[in-house]
Amino acid sequence: MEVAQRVSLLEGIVREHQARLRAYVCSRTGDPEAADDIVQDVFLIAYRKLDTLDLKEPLFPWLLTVARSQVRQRWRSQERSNLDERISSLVSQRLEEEHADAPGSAFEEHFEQLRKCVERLPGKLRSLIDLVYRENKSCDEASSTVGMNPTAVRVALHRARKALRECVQTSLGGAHR
Amino acid sequence: MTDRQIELSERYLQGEATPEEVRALLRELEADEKFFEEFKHEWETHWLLKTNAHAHAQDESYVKRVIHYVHATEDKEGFLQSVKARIQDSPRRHRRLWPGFAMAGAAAVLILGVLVALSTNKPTTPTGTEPPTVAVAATVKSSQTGVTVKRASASLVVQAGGEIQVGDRVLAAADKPVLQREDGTTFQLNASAEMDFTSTETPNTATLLAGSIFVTAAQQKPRVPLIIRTPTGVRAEVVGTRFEVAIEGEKTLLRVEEGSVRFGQVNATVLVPAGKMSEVSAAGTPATPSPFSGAVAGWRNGTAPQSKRTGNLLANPGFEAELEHWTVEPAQVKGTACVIDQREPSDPRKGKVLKAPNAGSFLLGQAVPCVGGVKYRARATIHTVAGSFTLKLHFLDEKGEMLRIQQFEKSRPGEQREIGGEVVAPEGSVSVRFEVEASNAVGFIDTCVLTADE
Repeated sequence: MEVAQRVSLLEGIVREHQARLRAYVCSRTGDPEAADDIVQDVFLIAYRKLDTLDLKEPLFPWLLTVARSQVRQRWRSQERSNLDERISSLVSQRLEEEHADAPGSAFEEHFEQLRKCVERLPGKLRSLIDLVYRENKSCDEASSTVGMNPTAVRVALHRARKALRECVQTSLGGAHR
Repeated sequence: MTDRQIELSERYLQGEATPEEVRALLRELEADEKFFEEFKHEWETHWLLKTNAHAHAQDESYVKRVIHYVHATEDKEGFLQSVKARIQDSPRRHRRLWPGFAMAGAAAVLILGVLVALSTNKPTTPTGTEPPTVAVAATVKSSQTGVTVKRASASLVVQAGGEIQVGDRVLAAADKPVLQREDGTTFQLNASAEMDFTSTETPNTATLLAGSIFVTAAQQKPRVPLIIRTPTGVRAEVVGTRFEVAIEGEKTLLRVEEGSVRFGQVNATVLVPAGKMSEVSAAGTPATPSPFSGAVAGWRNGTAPQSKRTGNLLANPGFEAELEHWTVEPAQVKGTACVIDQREPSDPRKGKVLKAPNAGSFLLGQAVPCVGGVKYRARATIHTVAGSFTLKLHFLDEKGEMLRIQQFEKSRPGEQREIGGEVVAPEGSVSVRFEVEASNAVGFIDTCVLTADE
């Protein structure tokens, strides 16, 4: 395969899969910058293997497998003296263990359903999710916008995420990834 | 989940938790499995929402970043040729591609230029390509003599107020110039430091090619942090504000004065907080952050001159050749036998630096007379930045032959303390001298004192 063709293929692959892949890796590392670095390496590996990949088959499951391996490599090399890193390592390793055998398509469905479920949230919870996740407002800032105290905002955020999880599970028929 | 657990987990997820709250959260997670299960789902949903919310806005820039990265790692020549071919292929295609792919191509041309420059150590531009559109990378904020800039194949001097363009390679003069970026971030370059301002990874990347720099970072935009790279792939990613990056041999050293810096290579990084340092070799993982003594980028105010730090001290063992700031007093049977002081009287921070890349010994001062059978007390104040130093005393006979080496305890990294102890000079000894054995060490010795106790 010529270089131009390889590059063109890679661009298409990155464009199609990067958002879901970054979301997955971020949900395992809790660190968006690290997730970007890891996903970048996943695409580099994909580029190197372009000649052997069957591009007629769905590629995301393969990319997810490589990403999982990269995440595990990060755990091995990561220092855990920092409290944040200890928490992220505890949680993300448990998540990964539970979903280690799940097919890549399960994560795609979960991610897609989550997007849809956000649209279905009741008005106030939806506004809070938008304020905190889209507009990057702190709980204190969001509280003044929605007329709630910061503690109530935190409780509401907790409820919103719980509602989203239930919505996703219902949509997927209770299936786990 | 209890109200307290909800409060703790929310504050943690939103990045608002204090260190005490993070500690409390960890305790709760370890003690309460049911809470852990809940929190695990909270965490996953939180990060999926976080990435999903911003995915579209960053899609294009991220696609470009990945292509650049792949290019920089693989198929350098081939990629460049394919980009050129595609750009030149047809005007219509060119127009359609320019905002996206051809921009990537132009960046690729720049990247290749840097890679070639790094490999040949000469300024160069890719042959057969049009020069890329220039952009200002920084301005020279202060410099008495100006900085030498390699721009394409030309070499010019840019004075204070002048612009450093993207793609320029800057060589600092002895006056430690300061460069300032548009966002207010400043780089102070030590004498002989070299920087490259080609944007290789993100618009906010600069490469340190040699020497050391001190960075005062302005507040960074989310997700495009300032990154200082080195040719060996080491990255210092700005989380906080003031830090020094130095290339010393095959190692890259980071010392953080304020804020924190994520440091290392792509898949192996450590977060280095203020007051700590780390180092990484070309192929290795970053060292666990450890405290250091002394100033960050001490070269800014004359401490730890770079020429001495990087000079081949091992080829010039000890400081016998540079004794101007030392005093050696004649031996006495009682009282002080010798004082070796490397500090400058006018500025106690100024002095000499011991540095041993692997291992080496330094003889401190000249041998001074002593008397066999007399008990001496040796002490040295040692600031150990990295590695360790071992203080030793050599007792010599009248022919200058070694009679005995007395070794004292080792210093430890990050310490600044007095080391030494008591020793009786062996019979027949007529002179004594200090030796410091260094193991992967960088540090300072303020004063060595030898006192006769009886």
